[in-house]
Amino acid sequence: MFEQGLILSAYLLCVGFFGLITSRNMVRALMSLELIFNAITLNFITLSNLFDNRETGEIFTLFVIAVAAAEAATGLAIALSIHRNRRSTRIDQSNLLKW
Amino acid sequence: MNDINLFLAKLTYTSAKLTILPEIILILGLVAVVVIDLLSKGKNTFLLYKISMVTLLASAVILLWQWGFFTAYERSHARDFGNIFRFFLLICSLLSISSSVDYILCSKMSLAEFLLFKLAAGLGGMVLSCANDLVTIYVSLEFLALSSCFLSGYTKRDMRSNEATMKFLLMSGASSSLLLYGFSLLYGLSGGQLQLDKIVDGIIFNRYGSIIYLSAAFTTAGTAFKLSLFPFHQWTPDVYEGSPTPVVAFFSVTSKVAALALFTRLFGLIFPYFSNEWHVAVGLLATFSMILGNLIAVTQRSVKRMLAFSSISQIGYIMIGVLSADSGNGYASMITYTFIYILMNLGTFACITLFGLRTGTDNIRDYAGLYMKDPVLTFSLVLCLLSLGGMPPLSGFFGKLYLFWHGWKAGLYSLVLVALVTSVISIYYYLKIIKLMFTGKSGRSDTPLNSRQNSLVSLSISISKNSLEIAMIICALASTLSGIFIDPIIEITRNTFF
Amino acid sequence: MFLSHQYDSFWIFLLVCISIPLLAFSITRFAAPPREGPEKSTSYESGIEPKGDTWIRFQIRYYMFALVFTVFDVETVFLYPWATSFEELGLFAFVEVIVFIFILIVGLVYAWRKGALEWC
Repeated sequence: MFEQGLILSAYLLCVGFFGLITSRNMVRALMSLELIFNAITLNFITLSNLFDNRETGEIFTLFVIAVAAAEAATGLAIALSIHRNRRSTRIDQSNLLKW
Repeated sequence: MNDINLFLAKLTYTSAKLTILPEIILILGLVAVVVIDLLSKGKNTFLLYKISMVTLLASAVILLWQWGFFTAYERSHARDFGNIFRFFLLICSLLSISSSVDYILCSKMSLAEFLLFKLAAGLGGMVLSCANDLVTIYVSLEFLALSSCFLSGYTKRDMRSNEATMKFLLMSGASSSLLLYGFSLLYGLSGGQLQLDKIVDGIIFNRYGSIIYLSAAFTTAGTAFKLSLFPFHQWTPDVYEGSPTPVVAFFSVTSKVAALALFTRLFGLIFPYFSNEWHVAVGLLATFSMILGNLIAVTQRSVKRMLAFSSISQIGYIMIGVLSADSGNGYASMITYTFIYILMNLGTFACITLFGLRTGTDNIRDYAGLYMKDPVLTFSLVLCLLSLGGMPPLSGFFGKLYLFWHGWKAGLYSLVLVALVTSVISIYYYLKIIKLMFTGKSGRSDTPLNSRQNSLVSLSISISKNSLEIAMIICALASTLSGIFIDPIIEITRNTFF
Repeated sequence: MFLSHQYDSFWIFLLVCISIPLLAFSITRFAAPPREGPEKSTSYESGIEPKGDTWIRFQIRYYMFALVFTVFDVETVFLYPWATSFEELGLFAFVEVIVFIFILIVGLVYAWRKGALEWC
């Protein structure tokens, strides 16, 4: 059971990173980021089931959830201001800053 | 009378015992800034500026007082390390706020939120540099990263700023998730511990040796993103170019210093017993970031981008200090060089902010003939740049000398050789700007030097204009002269080892 | 793990849950007389005629409310662990929670004064 949890979380992490790298839309990239955070949350919960003091991992999970929500809010605010300025939130169209 | 004395003594002792008192003062300052801004409806900007400066100063004074109070009784090296970094972060916030108020007022953005985010980022860094718990480390790191992200997108009408903040958010999210995955593995390996010192006890008696390497790799990747070491440096130039200039000054010191404290604590505490492996890995990263940072910086056309690559290479130098820690000197060379780096870099960015404010550009070509127009600015910039490059009479030279000598003693011969060669390259591109400033013909004489000053003739702005120049001159003088006073700094930093 | 006997009632419950919608759909298919018409193929939406595309733009104002709601909603997560062990933690934790809520209230007042809660 515990191996399956770890494998599932590693798989979700890989899916999240794949989405983060390949997605062309800002909102979709943020969703991938959320997926990554959820994978890590799953990892913490799975590992905390093994030990006697289970609270620590669960509390860490709560903090991760809260911070992920803050990060999503920030990301959506940024997506909104990008959309106001250039009428699209596609990442590959933002090419002002390059060498 | 006796009662009052007793009460005072008790109060003194309690407040000295309360090690997070500087942070509490900062939080009170934050709340005060928000509340006063709401009450005065964004009119009383100068008061807000004064409040934040007073808060930072009070916090710094209390930090020093607590430090002295405790040194008299007991000496704890770990606490020394944290205190030094907290003090550095306070200095960074102080100098960068005083050098950025003017920019914000001139570009007609609201000051309250700017001060709020800067104080919040400084607070996050301070908590990060003395945190001993994985939860605290993660939350304060995200606090720092999200505040920096808001600062980076502060000019929200500017598309470049938008793009920079988007990149910064995605990159910092990815890096902190890598770091967090490493933390979760550490949590599992150590048997459910979150305190750093208990984790060490937990992972020594462990059967799954290879997973520790995996966790160390994830942690290295996560912190190297924050430090912008070589393969993880891609976000740095873009974010530096797009963000407003005073914000870049803040980034280049605060997040670097906080991430450095995190890196040193994590690797010094958790992974000391397989130090050979991570020393090799981090040494490689440092080598590549020195070489690539300096080589790419030569070809840049924008000053901010050039300084971004220069900061990548500076992190490579600082890593030598982290790697060469021994029981005699601790992290003395690293901390000394970090201190000098803060002053040099803030000075350089203050000069660039002033220049950008007057001409509205940050292209290297536009610096031609600056000496004719503004000698004070030119001399400050020259001093800071030469100090960054490590020219002999300035303090950057002494810092680098101490760092390299220390690294040589620790047996990092190849790293020190690479660092020496690359600092020669770095002197080339710093001297290129200096030569342009003194000898270049001012091609665009139609850009008047004080174009923006005319429209803004108000009392508070003229005062804060002085504050930018004062911060610039303080940084320039300090980065020149602290080479002379390097011995006492080294003495203070010498005993920092955990 | 799922094969042990304490999960039997769970399996039965799951079976009943799945069968209810299936039964509901299949019974109507058998019982109702088949009559075709243009009215009938439209989707039922609580009495209002559906029109337009399903991919519509939402008002941007929903976003601000969603944002403020999300932040405060998630921060509440920290109050639950405190509330469940209120007896053990005592007065100090109570003061800490008061400080936490005070900072949240400052944030709410900030959002309110800056006009994030105005509809127009």
